This record gives sequence, C-alpha cells and structure tokens, in this order.
Amino acid sequence: MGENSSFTLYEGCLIRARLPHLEKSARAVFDRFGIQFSGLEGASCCPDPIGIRGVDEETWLTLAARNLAIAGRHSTPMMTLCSGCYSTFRHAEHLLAKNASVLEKVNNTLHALGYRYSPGLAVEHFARFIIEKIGADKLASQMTDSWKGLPVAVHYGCHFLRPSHIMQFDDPENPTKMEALLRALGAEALDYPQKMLCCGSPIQGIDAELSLRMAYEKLRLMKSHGAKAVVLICPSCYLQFDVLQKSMEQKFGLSLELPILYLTEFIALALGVPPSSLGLHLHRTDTRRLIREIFPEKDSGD
Amino acid sequence: MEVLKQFLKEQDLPQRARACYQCGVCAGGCPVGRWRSDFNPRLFVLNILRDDITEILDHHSIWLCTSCLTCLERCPQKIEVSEIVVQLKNAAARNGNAAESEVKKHREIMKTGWLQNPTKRILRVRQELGLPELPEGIGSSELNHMASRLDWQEKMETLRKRGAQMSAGHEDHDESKKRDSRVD
Repeated sequence: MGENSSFTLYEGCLIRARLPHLEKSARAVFDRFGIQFSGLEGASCCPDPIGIRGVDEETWLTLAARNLAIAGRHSTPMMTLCSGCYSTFRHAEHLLAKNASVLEKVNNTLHALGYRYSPGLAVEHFARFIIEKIGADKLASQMTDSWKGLPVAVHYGCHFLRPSHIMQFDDPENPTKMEALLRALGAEALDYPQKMLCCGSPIQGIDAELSLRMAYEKLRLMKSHGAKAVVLICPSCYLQFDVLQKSMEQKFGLSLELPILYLTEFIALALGVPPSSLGLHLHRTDTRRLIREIFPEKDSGD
Repeated sequence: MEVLKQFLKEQDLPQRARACYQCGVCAGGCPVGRWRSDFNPRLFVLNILRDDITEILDHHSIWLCTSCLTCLERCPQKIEVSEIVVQLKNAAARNGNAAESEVKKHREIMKTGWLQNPTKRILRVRQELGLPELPEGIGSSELNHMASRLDWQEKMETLRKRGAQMSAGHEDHDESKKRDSRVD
C-alpha cells in the first residue's frame, strides 16, 4: 500500500440513503492511513445482487457493467463500503469474463449509451483492503485506545466471502481474518456456532417475519456465547441487526441489547478518533453506553 | 411454457444440474429451509432433472432464497445450486410470477437509478458529519434509454398482468405449501 493510495468511492445505496455514519467512520479510518477518495459521478445502484438479479439478470448485469465501465475511466481503483455492491461487481466481472456472448450483448447495450465495459478494473471491499493492505500489525501500531478484552462476535455476512471460487479470500465456512484485526485492537474475538449463518436481510420484503426470525437467531447465538458487541461489514446486515433489534426483542421476548458496530467504527475508536465525530447517535441500538464503559475518558457524543 | 423451457435450456440448466445425486446437503445447510418446509433447494434441482418446473415457476417460495450461497459452497458435486435458483427466479418472472417487493425494487431503480434515495434529513446529517456532497447519479434519460434496450417495460408489464390475475384468483398460500410437500 502506498501512503498516497487513492480510490473512487462507491458508497452504495444504503449508505448513501440511510447510513451516513458508516461512511463517516470509513473515511475517518482511511484518512489515518493517507488514503484519498474521489466521487464516482453518474453511477447507479450496483444494483442489488438478489432482488434485481432475481427478477431480471440482464438488467442487473447491464447496470453493474455500466458502473464498472464508468469506474474504469478513472485511473484509480474503486472501493465499495458494502458487501452487496462488492458481490454484484465481482460476480458481474466473473460472468462477463466467462461468457463472450453475454459480454457482447451487454456491451451492445452499453455502446448505445456511450460506454464500453472492458475487464480488468480492480474493485476493492473496504474490509478486505484493511485486512490485506493495512493489516493487524499496522493497526496495532497506531492504536491509542484498546478495546480492553471486550468479547466481540464478528458477523462476516454471506457475500463478502462467497462464492469462494470468485472471491478467493477467506474460508467460506469458517473465516478467521477479521478476528485477527479485532484481537490486534485489544478485543476478544469470540468463537461462536454458525458464524456464517445469514442475517436474513434479502427476504425482508418477501417474508418480514422469517427475515426477522433469522436475524434474531443469529444475535441470540452471539449473545448466548458471551458477545457484548457485534462487528460487521455490510449495511444490509447492519440494518437487520441494529435497526430491527428492538422489533426482535418485542417479537421474540428476549432482551438482546447488543451494540452493532461497523468494522470501521470499531477501528476508528481504537485509533483515537473522537466518538463524538462519528455520529454514533444514529445507531438505533445504543452503542454509547458501551463506549462510555470501555473509554470512560471520551465524549461519546451524547 | 415452451418459451420458458427454451430459456432454461439457453441457461443450460439441465446440464448444470445433471451431476446431482440428491444427497440433500444443500437442503441441510439452507437457513430458510430450516424454518420453511416449502423451501427446499434439493427439490428445485430435482424438478429440473425431471424437466418439470411448472410448479416451481408458479410458486411463491422460490423468492424466499436469501442467496446466502451455502448450498453453492457445500455441494459435493459442485453444482451451483443458488445460481440455478437465480435462473429459476428469472424464468418465473418471465412467466409473470415475481415477489412484489422485488418488482418494486426494479421500478425504483429504473425510475431513480437507486433502490433508496437520501431524504433531506439524511443530506443534512451528511453535512453535519462533514461528509462531502454525494456525486450526481445516473440521469433519467439514460435510464429510459437503457430500459428500452433491455425490453424492461415489457418484462414489467408481464409481471403486472399476471400479478393482477393471481390476486384476482386469490392463490392460496397454504394450498401451495401442501402441493409442495407432495412433491417430496
């Protein structure tokens, strides 16, 4: 990683429209490591790799290829803050690379709009970049505030690692790379069963109750194995676990009270970024009580 | 149905499913199947092997796949079960059956370019957090152009017509569940 690495930033629709605090924490962390972002003008939704692709793969693939074609005009690679967007872009690249007639069809449509998709653009996921290019050692060397042994459950989510033959990163059944980062920042990264269980988010619009049940099961497992917080890397999973946590507690009758932190929030706090600058009040499930406990000398932004 | 069979053939589904010996690892690892007996990826593959997909295409349950990709990772025969499910969903949509929430997503994207758009409040919060202005997104004329190139309106019209028929016919969910368990 050069100190002056830069990326075009692809926030994704959920962070753009609903979760600006997650972008804030990402920018705060990357700023510490001298990484610059520029905006990507003219983009659309990635789009959603499940709902949009499910109804019409051609629409999904064409919009994805258009975004990739726009990003490809920049000299810098593109970074996503969302595992859904990452999944769409990586999967679209894979399909366009392996099927020449699909590529031709997509490029015919794009040509009419003034674009051309050519393979080869590097798309980066923020968490993958942190793990691979910054790394636990460098994070630890910049740490000012340890998480003081806090037991934390990592939720990888499905689309960061799978399909593993495309993503080629960590074990798709039992990943461990994120835990190493958390440990470097002083937390206890918990081992808990069914670590790769889905959060249920994609079927929120189809069967809301089942979707909520799935999210609840996951949080219940984390909680019963001692988690005091959850760290994750996808805004869809975040919406399930943070925004809907109160609904789960009401529906299923168990108090969870599990703060949900984006990986970049977790890192930013350990690097001494003031909690009051991170918009933590935008979490629906309280995080500030925990942060006051761990970092009593800090202003948690109440 | 002939058109659909052609579509599935184009997608090479029978060939992609051929190595399945119905071990059920896909169903065993399925987080939706755990709660819903009418969702069984093994049976989706079986129906393709039997060249009988009529039931799946009409059935609501196929839209319950969360695309967690566990089945794809675990299949001992390396069948990409979740990819087959995507193609079945596409075929169902061409046949006029898609979950309403997903059709809505399509309409929103083709209207604004995004699944969700920031409200004024969120734009204000972005400012308060010191975040830069969001870059301009895709414009509507380009979206319209793309939609026409993709025959998108026609695809949505098929869904609308069939949706109206289905709600007029009050297709009973429990009834279709029973039908599914008989397949097993």
